[in-house]
Amino acid sequence: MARSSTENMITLMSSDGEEFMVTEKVARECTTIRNMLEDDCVITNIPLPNVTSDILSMVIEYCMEHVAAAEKAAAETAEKGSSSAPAAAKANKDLEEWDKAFMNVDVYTLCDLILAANYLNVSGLLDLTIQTAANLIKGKSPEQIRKTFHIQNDLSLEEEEKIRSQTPWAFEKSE
Amino acid sequence: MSSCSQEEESKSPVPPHAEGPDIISQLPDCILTSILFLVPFKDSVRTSILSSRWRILWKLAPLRLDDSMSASSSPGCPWDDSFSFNPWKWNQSRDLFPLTPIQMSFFGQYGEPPNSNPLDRLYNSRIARLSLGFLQTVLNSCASLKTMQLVSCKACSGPWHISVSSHSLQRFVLSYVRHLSLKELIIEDAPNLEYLMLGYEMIESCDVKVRHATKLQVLGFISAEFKELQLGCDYFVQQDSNNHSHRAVQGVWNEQSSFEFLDYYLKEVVIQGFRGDEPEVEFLRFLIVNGKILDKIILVDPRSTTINSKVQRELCFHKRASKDLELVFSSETKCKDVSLWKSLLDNGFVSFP
Repeated sequence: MARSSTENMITLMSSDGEEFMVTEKVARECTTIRNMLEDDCVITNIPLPNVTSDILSMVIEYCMEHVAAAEKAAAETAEKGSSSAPAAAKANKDLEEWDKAFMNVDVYTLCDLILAANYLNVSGLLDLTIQTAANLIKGKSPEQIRKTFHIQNDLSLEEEEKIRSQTPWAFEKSE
Repeated sequence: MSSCSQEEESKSPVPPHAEGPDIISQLPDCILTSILFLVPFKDSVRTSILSSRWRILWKLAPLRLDDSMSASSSPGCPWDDSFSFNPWKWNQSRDLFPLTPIQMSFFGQYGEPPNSNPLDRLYNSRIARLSLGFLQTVLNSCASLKTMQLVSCKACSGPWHISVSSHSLQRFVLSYVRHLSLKELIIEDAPNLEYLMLGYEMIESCDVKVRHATKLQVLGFISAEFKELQLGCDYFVQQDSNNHSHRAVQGVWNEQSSFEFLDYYLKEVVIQGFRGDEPEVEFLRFLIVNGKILDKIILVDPRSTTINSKVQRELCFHKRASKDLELVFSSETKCKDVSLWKSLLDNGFVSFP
């Protein structure tokens, strides 16, 4: 769909000084930015000192994909008068697949994305990243989790034993 | 979530290699607890030994009582059926309850009530079955629990004997809990309890004993189905316990002597669906003649269109013990003027048969 040339463009600046031009619609996916725009509608240049350029580019990629999907669904509904259920289901599935592929990142990027999504308040991305982190913990032993996230165990054996003894049922082998 | 602030800057200059920086541990508490909320409870508890940072995080996460937990047959599940009649393991370490919930509700079909704060309210409609041990532990060991509502959920079968000793509990509602056969409910010591509401189906052949609840304002539903109702030192005993009729046993009220709660506490009585038959008139007369501080008796939605003059005469209103007593006939809508009932009715916490 051709974008109207009058659409407002916003410049987002990462912590390392890189500038990203995005449409206002994409920028509005971030609730933090949307609030800024609503407070001051002439603002066009927004510095984001907490987000690095590589993470910001990923956040923008996520927002663009989701805005495009929403626009496509809206256009189809407008064209046919009503959206056909199978087509909508397929579009949803495609977006889910895209999200899944998008989450194919290392744990450092994942943690940075969580922080950026939290700071920029992109609820969809925050849900997605937090769920991804939860999936990495689900069903894993403490040793496996430490390895996955490089968590340094600073507990002594005695301390660890004491914590285990407080909730022994959590450490019993199931199945 | 958006109010979270990053606690400290990440040690980013360290290149990511096999022993890379521990970035996840540097995420703020609110994010880590959101992650743990999505993890099965047992897995979440296991993170307590990851490192000192993780030690108490699971206790800060909203508790999730999950189908998958109860569905698995592992013996460690605290709310597994097999735990119903055994002391729940958490009983042995009471302070370990992961949260200090203010409100705890289990709703089946009503959905989440409005204004819920996940940290104040433990809510899950999908819990497979509620065990007695779980309920008992929460009631008696959560020092901040103010509300416990069990409406339209499933319980482990078997005879339940619930005993409540809680200094924080203000409201206790039990209604439409499937498979629950409540044999006995003892309010042992609940100095702040204001509401005690039991669904009609709960009280069938149940003993209800309120031993110490000085702030109790609403007690419902009273029915002839109670095997025994004890209020402080007062007892109402169903004379013929084999009688399963839905009517009160005739003559029972005439034989009761006076009661301490009628002398000092009972101010208002609401009777739903008053039919005006003999046992009901007898009960009402008993209240009128003995209720020393009774202000109001409300007959909601009387079934017989007019309470005839014979019934009115039989009520012996002229013999009323309290000169301020008012007898009110009300339609159901007017009943909602009674504020405490209004909130119960409006919230769907009670329904009439």
